[in-house]
Amino acid sequence: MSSVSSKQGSRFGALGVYAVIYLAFIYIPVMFLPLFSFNDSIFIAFPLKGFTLEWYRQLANSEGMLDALYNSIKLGCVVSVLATLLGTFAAKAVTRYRIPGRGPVITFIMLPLVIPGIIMGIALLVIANMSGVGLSLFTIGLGHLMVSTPFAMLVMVSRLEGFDKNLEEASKDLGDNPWATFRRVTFPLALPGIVASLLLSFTISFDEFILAFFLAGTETTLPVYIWGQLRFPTQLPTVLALGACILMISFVVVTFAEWYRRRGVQLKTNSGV
Amino acid sequence: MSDETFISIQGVSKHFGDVHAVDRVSIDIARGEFFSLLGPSGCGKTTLLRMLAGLEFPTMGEIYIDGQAMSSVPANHRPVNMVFQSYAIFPHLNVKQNIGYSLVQDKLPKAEFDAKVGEMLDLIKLPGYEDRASHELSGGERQRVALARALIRRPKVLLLDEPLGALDKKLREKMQLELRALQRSVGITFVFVTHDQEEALTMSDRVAVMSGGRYLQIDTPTKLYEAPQNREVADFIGTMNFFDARVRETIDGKVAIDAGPLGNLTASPGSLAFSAGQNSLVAIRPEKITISSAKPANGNAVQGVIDDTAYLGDRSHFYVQVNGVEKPVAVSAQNVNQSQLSGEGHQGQIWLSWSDDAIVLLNAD
Amino acid sequence: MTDHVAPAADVIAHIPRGPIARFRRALMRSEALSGYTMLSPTLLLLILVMALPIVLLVVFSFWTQNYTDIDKTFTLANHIKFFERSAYPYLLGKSVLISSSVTLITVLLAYPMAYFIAFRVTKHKLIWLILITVPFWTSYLLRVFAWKIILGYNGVINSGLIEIGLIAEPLAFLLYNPFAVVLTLAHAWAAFAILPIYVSLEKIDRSLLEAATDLGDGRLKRFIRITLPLSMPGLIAASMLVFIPTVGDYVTPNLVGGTSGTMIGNVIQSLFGRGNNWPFGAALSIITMITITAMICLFLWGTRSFRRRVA
Repeated sequence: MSSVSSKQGSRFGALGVYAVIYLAFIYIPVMFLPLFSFNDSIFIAFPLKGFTLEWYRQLANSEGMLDALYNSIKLGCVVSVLATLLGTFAAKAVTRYRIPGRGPVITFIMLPLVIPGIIMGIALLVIANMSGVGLSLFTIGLGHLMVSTPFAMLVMVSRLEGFDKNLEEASKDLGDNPWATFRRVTFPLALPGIVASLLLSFTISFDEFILAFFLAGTETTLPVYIWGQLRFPTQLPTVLALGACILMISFVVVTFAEWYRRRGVQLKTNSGV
Repeated sequence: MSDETFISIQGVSKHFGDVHAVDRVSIDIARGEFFSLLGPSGCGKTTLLRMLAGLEFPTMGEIYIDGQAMSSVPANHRPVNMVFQSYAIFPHLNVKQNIGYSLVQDKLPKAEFDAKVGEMLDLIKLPGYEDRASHELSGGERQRVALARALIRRPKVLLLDEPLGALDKKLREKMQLELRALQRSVGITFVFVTHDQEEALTMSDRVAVMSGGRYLQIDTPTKLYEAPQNREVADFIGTMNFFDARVRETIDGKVAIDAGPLGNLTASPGSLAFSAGQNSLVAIRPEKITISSAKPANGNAVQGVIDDTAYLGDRSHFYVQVNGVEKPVAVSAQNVNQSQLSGEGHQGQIWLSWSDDAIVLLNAD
Repeated sequence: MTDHVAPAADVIAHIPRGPIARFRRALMRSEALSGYTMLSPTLLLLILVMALPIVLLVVFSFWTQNYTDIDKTFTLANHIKFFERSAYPYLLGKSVLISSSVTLITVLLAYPMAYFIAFRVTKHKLIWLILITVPFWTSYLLRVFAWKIILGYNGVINSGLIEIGLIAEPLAFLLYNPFAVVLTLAHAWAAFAILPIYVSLEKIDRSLLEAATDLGDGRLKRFIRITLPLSMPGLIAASMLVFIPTVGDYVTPNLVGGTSGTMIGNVIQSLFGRGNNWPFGAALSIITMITITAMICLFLWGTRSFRRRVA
């Protein structure tokens, strides 16, 4: 790699400038949400009028918002635990065992990543309707579990591939039963992956809108609540404040998860997501 | 070495889909024996070892260890421990925790636990290493820790999967001797997998040469080298010159052969059977051929021209073109005195000679 | 060597019998069985919550909405209706066109960025990777919403430009058009394109590049002959990851598209909402899915012949 970059003269060069502009393109639009959430005006426009925490105060007193927040957190916790459990088992099966039909099985589990959300949303709506299962947080949870399990599995696969499978065999050879092998070897070594998978599944569920929109009953999640508020112009500053909070939380959680996950994995062989 | 059969592999096969990794293998291994499985990669030796460990299960056949059928015994209940090729040192545990890994089931008092680990560290000559982190160990140290970890509960059998493969040449040679000495002192049956023939010959009581999921010959190192049973073994172990030949007749347990350009020869058939008129192979090791400028007074001899020489320090290799023989004949000579070096004394036509017992007679393929 | 060691009788007697013991023994011996046992909860979930609903959606598209009831007699009326009214094929075509533009722009913009992280960044790769990955996980709805407030009539750009005196009247053409949809989608899906491309670039053996230089290739030639073909799997994955979900998107057109930026997703959504014609909505979804699949096949076929030409 050094011979590639040394020819460049400077290490970053024109590509480096491009990279910085690109990052600005990704981050700046989103930064307007927190910026205007502190602006002392009902209109989202320049010039900025002055600093206020009024919108955050209104937000904290909004009962609908607090209910939706509570629902989203509850849902995120259940979904992340279940998705990580399923993803871990599935990852263990495809990385540690020779199974016939491995390729098609992986493709099948990854399908939720490429089926348009709207199609999955209406398909689940139709089946819920026909089977008589009423729309509720439970139906949203099923949908979220379906979309977060492939991510959980990808995270766990890259973690399990990151350590020698002989370690688990050695533990078995040294007298451990399957449960002891899991407790003494697999779990401690897979822990960074498990933590990352929990956090990422949580954010996926917490931020997911399209499935929740179709599958929500009387209880809604936070993104669905925001969508409803967008119709009222007077509510916009509060929505901005809420958006800023969600971005903040997602940002911190995801940064931590990614840092924790990638730290252990050698960068050269990183298979990322 | 006692003759009592301790491990009995009976008609064992392992299929992965259509691949027959191990194909109807039957081997008996005696108690306290140092037994090697030797062969190129993909010959099934590691699969066979893993079946002994219980990490794979045979598709067909049965394995008995100390009289017990193993087919329904999982790895964690077998009286067998393994040293993995990658050593599989647990990265999240230190040396003491690694070596004492299997003692945890026994719930020993701390002092006894420490004493046992200390004893093993003395055995592998790494005293005081208890608190080292696994990533602080060198390749040779990892190998020793893996060995101690596998031996601490005194298994009936120790399985070793190419444990010296990752070490450099000097260290490997040292570890070969240490491992052999260790095996004698603990008296445990060792089953050793390697693709390095020199390693197998130096360390083992007996060696099974494997190829394509089956074994070609099981014998002591001397027998494998001096009396290979077929061309594959003769070719795989060391260097061998082959000459096409025909059996003329068999008299008094000796076989008279017509070896074409080499003339008429007499050889003893070993355990193989030959009949008159049969096509056969004459095999002669390079170091059993003598090179000289003048024709030897008696014995078997053939004339040739030196094609190429290679100087290896302690000995030199000559490649000699002989009329009617397709490949140059390899000859190895000890460099006893300097005048003999590099074939300087051998210009133009030279003579190759050998005695009757240098000849190994094999069946033609 | 053929000595037969008979198993001790008491060992045989100790082997547990019964269905559970038999299953446990089979589990121990068969990797396929163990593997599928561990996969079964995930597979069961996906069959129930993904495969079955999609099959049902296909069945649904052959039925008819009869006010509040569903008429379950088989009919192709919904599918025929799609082709009879030119508005629907036109809308689907427009959606595919918008998504294709988004995919092209996103992948083109992402490639240099991925290349930069893979080949130029040496020290703080982790930080760059995290910077790129984080937006990938954060709220899609909010990323789209940000553009509404940026492009709006009284939004960030217009008020900003007026404030610094560049324009006197707000620019009305910023929001509610296909361009706004393309821009917003390209931004919202950026991270999805970078990661697969980055992974495929990172996997390229650096000695291959040195070999190409050694054999006389200049930098551009080396890129076209080695780097680009070897990063093709990443490019293909990135294109699919962006194209497939954006065709059916309705959040972005709803927020920033206006009437001219409407896409097929909006129609499907309204058929399941105010329009209340589920079977026709199902038919539209199925036709959309088939179109997407056909486009993907065409795309894969195209890239394969491209790769063959380069090679």
